[in-house]
Amino acid sequence: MIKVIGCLLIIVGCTFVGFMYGEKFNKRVIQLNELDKSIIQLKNEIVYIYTTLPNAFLNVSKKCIYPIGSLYIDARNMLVNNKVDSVYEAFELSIKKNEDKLYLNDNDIKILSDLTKNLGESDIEGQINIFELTLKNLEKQIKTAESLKNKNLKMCRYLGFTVGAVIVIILI
Amino acid sequence: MVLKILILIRKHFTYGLRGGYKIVVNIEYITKILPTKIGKDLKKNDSLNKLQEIRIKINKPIIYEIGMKEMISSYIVNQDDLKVILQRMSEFSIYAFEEEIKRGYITIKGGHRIGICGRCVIEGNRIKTIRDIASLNIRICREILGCSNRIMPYIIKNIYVNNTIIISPPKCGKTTLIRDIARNVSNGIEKYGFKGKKVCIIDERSEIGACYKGVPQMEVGIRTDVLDGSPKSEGIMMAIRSMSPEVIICDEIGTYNDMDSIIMALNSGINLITTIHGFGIEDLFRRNVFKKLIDNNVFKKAIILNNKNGVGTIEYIYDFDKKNKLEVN
Repeated sequence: MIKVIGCLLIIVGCTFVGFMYGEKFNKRVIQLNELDKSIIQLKNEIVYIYTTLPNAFLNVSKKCIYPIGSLYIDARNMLVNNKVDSVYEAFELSIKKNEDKLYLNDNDIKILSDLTKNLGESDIEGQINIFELTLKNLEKQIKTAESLKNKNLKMCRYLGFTVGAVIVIILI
Repeated sequence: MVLKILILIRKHFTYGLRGGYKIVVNIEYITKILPTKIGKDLKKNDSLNKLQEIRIKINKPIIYEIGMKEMISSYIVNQDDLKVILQRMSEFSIYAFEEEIKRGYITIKGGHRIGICGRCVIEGNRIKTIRDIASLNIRICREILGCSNRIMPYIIKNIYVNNTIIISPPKCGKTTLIRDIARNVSNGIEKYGFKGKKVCIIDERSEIGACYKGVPQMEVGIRTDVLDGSPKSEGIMMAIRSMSPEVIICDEIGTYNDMDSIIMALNSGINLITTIHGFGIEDLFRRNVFKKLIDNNVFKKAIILNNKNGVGTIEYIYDFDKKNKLEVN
């Protein structure tokens, strides 16, 4: 009886790990899409309403799901409280703070960092160009992330179950 | 506890009393945009409630104008300091202040105006923007509640308001005075049986009402609407159409378009209180641009300011009907 329960636990545990690992690909796609949406909202706030960045970040954060919303609100708080001297610095710290909840890879983060280096530092035409470039790059990242997800999500799930089953067979 | 509260209040606002007036200078918004080192340097000075200007230039010491004195700091400003100030005063959003930068200044929260100097970028004979900003002049906005009380009997007549012009050289307190006049006209003065009027302030440079997100932070009265950031000529017309004011108040008129709008406002039965740069009533008569106003007998009273006995000294009041100078009681 104990053997059966043990075997079941191993299989369930390994399958769970497989699901968890596979979920990373899924969550990256969700977060990249959310980031894309938030940047479009930010563009609208800046280009059409001329909202200042701290207020724009606040407005965008209200419309975004966690943890993308947290990136904006944390950066906003740092700017408003004079904890930093630039938008780039605020986002660097904000990304670090929310690191454990983010499933974005280094290239995704680099796109966001490049945007924040130029955010607010030019006239409206300059801002439009920066947004266009960022959205184009993000689109590429989303496509890559989606193909990775399609390739790896099921594989990770099956692999988890298979590894569990193999361990059980070896043990028996 | 009481001491703590008092320290907190002092930290945020510096109050002073001069001749029974209440002076309110909000230094907090200035220190908020300054880098820590400059902020500390500023706090070394005494009498911050008399602070008038902070002049900041790259590779030069900071100059504080406190009252009538000039204090030169030992701190030399560097490029990074200026960059930080620029970022903070524009709320990290240069694009949102494009128009203000073209005009050479930004008004920050608290109504303080920061003048900008650098290299102008020209496009089609017009200034497109200012780049390589190398010097700033922070002009401190102060509110003196009650400073217009003495001259109100000359501005109001029974239940009416006289069309009034304030003539003053720069830094003699005309904006402060016009703001307090707006407050008195809007709230009404019980002593004279004068009920408040609907006032509209056309605040082109956000100095009178010091609006932040559209809300005036200065005391401008309960019946006052502020059209913030609007050019005077367009603002006057817009106010007539939209807010049905009884009195329009604006600062520093000087273009032919302004004059046309003023005449239009008077034709609509609206009273006007405004200011111009100058040293005496002669300046109004001498300048061609004001000819239309003189010919139309627009103004009833002119208040002439100087700073001989301190900022806001009333030199004399001119009566356009009697064509003579009046003594201020």
